[in-house]
Amino acid sequence: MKNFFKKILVYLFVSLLILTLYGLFCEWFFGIQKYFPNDSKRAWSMKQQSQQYDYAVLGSSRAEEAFDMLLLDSLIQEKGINIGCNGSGYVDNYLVLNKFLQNKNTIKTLFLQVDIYSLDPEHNFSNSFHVYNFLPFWHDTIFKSAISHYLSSSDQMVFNYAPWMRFYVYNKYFSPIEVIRRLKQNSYPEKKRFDKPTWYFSTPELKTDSSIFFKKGLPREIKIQPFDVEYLKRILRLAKANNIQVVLFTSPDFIQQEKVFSNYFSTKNSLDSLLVPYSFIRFEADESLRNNIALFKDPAHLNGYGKFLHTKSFADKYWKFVKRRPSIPTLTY
Amino acid sequence: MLFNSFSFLLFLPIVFLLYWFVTNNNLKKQNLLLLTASYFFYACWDYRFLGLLIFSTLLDYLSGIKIENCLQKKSKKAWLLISICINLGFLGVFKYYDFFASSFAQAFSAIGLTTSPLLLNIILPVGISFYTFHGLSYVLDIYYKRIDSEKNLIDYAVFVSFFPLLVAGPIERATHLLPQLKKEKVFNYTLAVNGLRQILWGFFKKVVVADNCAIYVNAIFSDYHHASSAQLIAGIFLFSFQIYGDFSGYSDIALGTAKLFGIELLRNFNYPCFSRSIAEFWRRWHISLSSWFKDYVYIPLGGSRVSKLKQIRNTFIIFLLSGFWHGANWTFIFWGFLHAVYIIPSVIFSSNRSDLDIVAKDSTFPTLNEIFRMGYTFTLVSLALLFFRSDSLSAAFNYLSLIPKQGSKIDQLSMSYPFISICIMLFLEWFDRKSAIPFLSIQSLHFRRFAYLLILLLIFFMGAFINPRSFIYFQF
Repeated sequence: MKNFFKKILVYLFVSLLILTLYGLFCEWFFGIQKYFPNDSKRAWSMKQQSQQYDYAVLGSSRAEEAFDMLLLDSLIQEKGINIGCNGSGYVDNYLVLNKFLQNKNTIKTLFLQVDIYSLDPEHNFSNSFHVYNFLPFWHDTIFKSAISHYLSSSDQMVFNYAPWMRFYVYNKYFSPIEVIRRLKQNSYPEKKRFDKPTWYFSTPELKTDSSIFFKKGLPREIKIQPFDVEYLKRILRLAKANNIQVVLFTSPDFIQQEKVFSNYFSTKNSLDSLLVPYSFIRFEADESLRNNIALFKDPAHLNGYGKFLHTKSFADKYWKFVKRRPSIPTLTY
Repeated sequence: MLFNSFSFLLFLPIVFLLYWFVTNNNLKKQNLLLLTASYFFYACWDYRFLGLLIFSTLLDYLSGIKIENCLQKKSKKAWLLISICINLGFLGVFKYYDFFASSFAQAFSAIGLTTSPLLLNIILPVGISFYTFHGLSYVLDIYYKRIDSEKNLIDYAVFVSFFPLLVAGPIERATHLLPQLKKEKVFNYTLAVNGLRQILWGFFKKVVVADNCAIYVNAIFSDYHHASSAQLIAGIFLFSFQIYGDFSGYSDIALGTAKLFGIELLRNFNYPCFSRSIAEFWRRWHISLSSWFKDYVYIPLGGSRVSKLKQIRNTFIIFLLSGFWHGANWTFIFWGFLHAVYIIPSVIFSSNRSDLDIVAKDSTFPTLNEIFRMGYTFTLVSLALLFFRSDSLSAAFNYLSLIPKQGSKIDQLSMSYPFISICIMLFLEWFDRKSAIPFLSIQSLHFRRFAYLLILLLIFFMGAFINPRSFIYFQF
């Protein structure tokens, strides 16, 4: 029995030693800005350093895909960045914006996407919070408090008392293979911009039957998550603290979405009343766009042509209500 | 409580220390501790079903005594039938009722009669198929006078609910496990070390192989309409490795855990990936279930001592039952049917008793013929598993029909982890294939120690820990 325990302890000690050393290495390596992953939009946004922009777009994939950024830049004659990310709720958004500003980037206006979907990311997004993207900032209390919400109590305990375990639970993103990949690719040279794809207009997709969008088992219910509401408020406070003008907008969703959720309108009313005290300028989605199925690639996301029309419409309103000048001349497609 | 959870990593050492240090090697205390630990382990899933487990245990315990004590054959049979009916009744209500109700409704609607079946929609108690089969084998063995009834309720309850095998087997036999529970136990170093080897290897297969494959397989099966041909084919084969890694990984952890307590459970897998025929595959895959059906269904039906026609009938019966045992869905039944179809030629030509030894028994590498046969068998098995994995028969046929129509793009990045882990698993298992215990083929002690460490580290570096997945066989 003694021999048995001795052997177990030796194996445990050696493996723990190796794992701890690798964990410490990860903490150092992945904390270095140039080795920070550049292959996700979220990470890319947080890697931006000392840039000056007139505006930034923030929100979920619906914000990410709401605008043709090159077109928007030219229409409103400002320089912007889209840091909206696929599958991002307000917690994600807040952390990205916070890091973005911490990195000495500046913006004058924040186009913040507000919609009912982001109030319940747990049920509307496949991954309600991307823990691994924020793990290198575990020591920052702002990040830690947000991350902890999404971890089980046992995970929190393990991450606190055995910090290297963070890199093993999310080993897909922090494995030795990843380390080699980063080193091999010369610390990920910035080849790609996530927010400004090349100019393209996809042809309108001739969808006539909207039922292809919708799955069985509807309608669903949206459950407003207080934690996400709190982070929406934090975004607004953060913008205020940094003297950033906020323009709220809602990207169009296909009109039939109203039937997909049993409480679509009541949730929308709750969102409206939540935003009333802030009295920010808010652009709702155009009903004409919402009604046209040919503008959507799925019920909640615009396709290329929809994006083009929405960008134009948004720019028009921006001139009228924010810049308080006559609207821009209408472009033809 | 999952084997691949932190809570189990705490639970196991605590029970182990109590078992060997607090009970003073007193058999009664040890078995009582195992029973308490097993009920706690089960209650961690759903304490509400603990009552069902205890009821099933008491029923079979009393039935066993009654069957043995009855002087008249008629009364013995009556007690046997009571036990079988109640056991299968529970299984029927919890597992099969909704299936039958909705199937009948569909059948009626096909002939123009619309009915709205009353569905229970109740949760399936975890492990019910396994502990029900434990109990059934026990009462049947007493009825056929293969064993005497167990008088000690605690020992019998441990036999039914011993935590390593409680939720996903192996399906134990009273003739094998009960005598071990009645024997004084002294700590056996070799047995415990072998147990740790199996636990380590089981964790690797589950967390690294199965769970990495699962990420890819789930993505393909949930959206197979948009997957490429290569992805669809990869999905079929990856699922085979997933289910093998998952179930054999679970069995290895269960066998290894039992060894830490001085108990040897029935072997459930014997390197099925290296089978050269379907008949050989079934001698190596889920051995405890196939031998259960062989002993309690196939042989009573006449086994292989009857005419060829009856042998074919018997083969279909056990494979369809095996499919049905897995779950109340036509996909499982069709999976069983396909295996019956695969195996029938060997029944007709009486070649199902060939390939009794492991492949390349006297050499290091297989011959080309053996490689071809292994590949062929694995492909047939994987094809049948497509039906096992699909939500419905129509989904499975759709999946198959899309293979020739889609493009050929494959996501190499996502594939790398499953591919590397499968290669490591097959490499080590190939060299271990002559032994029941992993790692023992490595002769050099230093290399073996290095292998332990390497596998341990690979579990940490490559294991899929985000949203730990339950074991597939828990649903059965």
